[in-house]
Parts: sequence; C-alpha cells; structure tokens
Amino acid sequence: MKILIAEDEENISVLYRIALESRQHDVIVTSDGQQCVNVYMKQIGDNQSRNDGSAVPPFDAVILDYRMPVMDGMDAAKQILKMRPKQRIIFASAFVKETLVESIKELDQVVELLQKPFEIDTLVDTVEDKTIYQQLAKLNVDISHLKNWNPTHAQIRDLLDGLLKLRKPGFDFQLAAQNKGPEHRYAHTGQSAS
Amino acid sequence: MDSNNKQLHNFSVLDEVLKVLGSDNLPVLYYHLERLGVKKNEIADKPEEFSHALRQIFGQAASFLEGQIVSSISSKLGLDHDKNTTLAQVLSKLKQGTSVQ
Repeated sequence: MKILIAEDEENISVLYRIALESRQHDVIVTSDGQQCVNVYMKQIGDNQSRNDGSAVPPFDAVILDYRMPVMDGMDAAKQILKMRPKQRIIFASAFVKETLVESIKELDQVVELLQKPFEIDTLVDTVEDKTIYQQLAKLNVDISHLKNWNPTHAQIRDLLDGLLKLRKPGFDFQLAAQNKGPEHRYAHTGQSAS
Repeated sequence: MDSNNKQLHNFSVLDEVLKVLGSDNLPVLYYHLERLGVKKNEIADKPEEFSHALRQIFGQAASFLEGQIVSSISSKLGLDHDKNTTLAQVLSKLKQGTSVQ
C-alpha cells in the first residue's frame, strides 16, 4: 500500500514508518499539514503526467495527526478531499470527541479515527483492514482470493456491508436505497481495533 | 445460441467469480438480485440492470466485482478488455460475434 503520513512528533512518525515499512508498505512521512498537502498535490501531478488514472486517489491511506503546526490535520483533510473526495483518511488524535464533531461538521466523508495513544499494531491493523477481513472470513468469504484482487478499503468495507445486509432477514435493498442516510463513521482506540 | 452465449446464460463464469463471496452467500445474493429485478438466467440479457442491482447491494465494491467478472469472461473467451470495460460491453461484443479469438 502507498501511505502518506503527517505527524509533527518525529519519534512517533519514525515508529509509524518502521511498523508500516516492515509490512512492505510504501511510506512518505511529512511533519505538518501543509507539507502533507504539498506532497499530495505533487503526487497527483506525477500521476497525471504518467496518465495514471487521474481521478484515483494517489495514496491508499493518508494518516493525519489532528493537531499540528502550520496546518492542522482537519484543514489538510479538507484540502485533500477537495482534490480527491474518495481519498481514505485516518485521523490519529487524542481528542476523539472534538475530532469526530469537527469531521462531521467539516468533511462530507467517511472518517476513521485512531485514538491516541494506541499500540503500533493497531495502526497497522487499521491500515490493512484487519477487522474487516476477519469479519469477511466469518462470513465464509475467500479472503486470500479476495486479497489477490487488491480491493481498496472502500470496496471491502462496502462488500462487508452488503454481505451483512444480504443475510439480514427481510432486508430490502430498494427501500434502503430510497432512505439512504449519512455514511457511517467509526473510531479505533489504543486498546482494540474494533 | 452459440456456446459462448450458452456459457453466459448458464452463468457458470459468474458463479466462479462470485463464489469468492462464500458459496452459502450466493443463493442469498441471487435471491436479492431477483428482488431487484434481475433473475440469474436473465443477467446475460440485462447486464446494465445487473450492474445497477450489484451497486445497490455492494456500493463501491460492485465495480470491483463487475471488473472481476469482465476479466474472467474476457480471458476465458479471448476478448479484449481494460479496467473500464463493462459487462454490458463484453456481452454486446459477444452478441456481435466480434473480437472473439
């Protein structure tokens, strides 16, 4: 996976990098929101010059610290989502309530939240969608085959959502499409990946 | 009906791809597709309706599943395709008898 990180505390960003690179992810670390947005824009430009799917988000995930100097995580997320509305954003924040309220107010986007402090494994599990794959496995989905198809986070999330609804007695997809509510948002804590 | 179309009407190709979702989930999926207006044996004749129903069920995962179905049919039948090719386009090619090697 290609992952962009914005974290102003170097000792933390180094940990993120080591953990994610040890799992063969391609990681770029920036130290504030502005730098992160600049890298993001540059990556879009590079992809466009290579004619490489112009509307596709250039990173599989962008991990943003909520509070940073120069530009905070929320403003960086806003700018990134303006460029690529389908970009997966993961906030790392000690201020869960504030981050959730702000994200619902400011962003029209599914938001994932890691509550600081968290175990480094929680970060890796979140990025790799471990919990979603575990749930899919419980539904007898052929996980190894599915992973070979390289689905995005949004695709496996929607796949799980669809399969759970399929198995819900009496669920009506036509009715659900008519009454579609806001997209779900969820948080992770340091103790659990669920 | 030629053998390509027969294969599509039987839709063994579709089962092969969708079985990744779990064989016990498949009958439930077909039941819901039928409720959304696409019976299994009609998929070859209603590819656009099938894609729409798949989107209603699986959201963003639908294009990904359709892509796998397109890829599987195309490689089995020797059709040209790319990541933007839809099931409707593949079936239309088959009906015209073009591009089949």
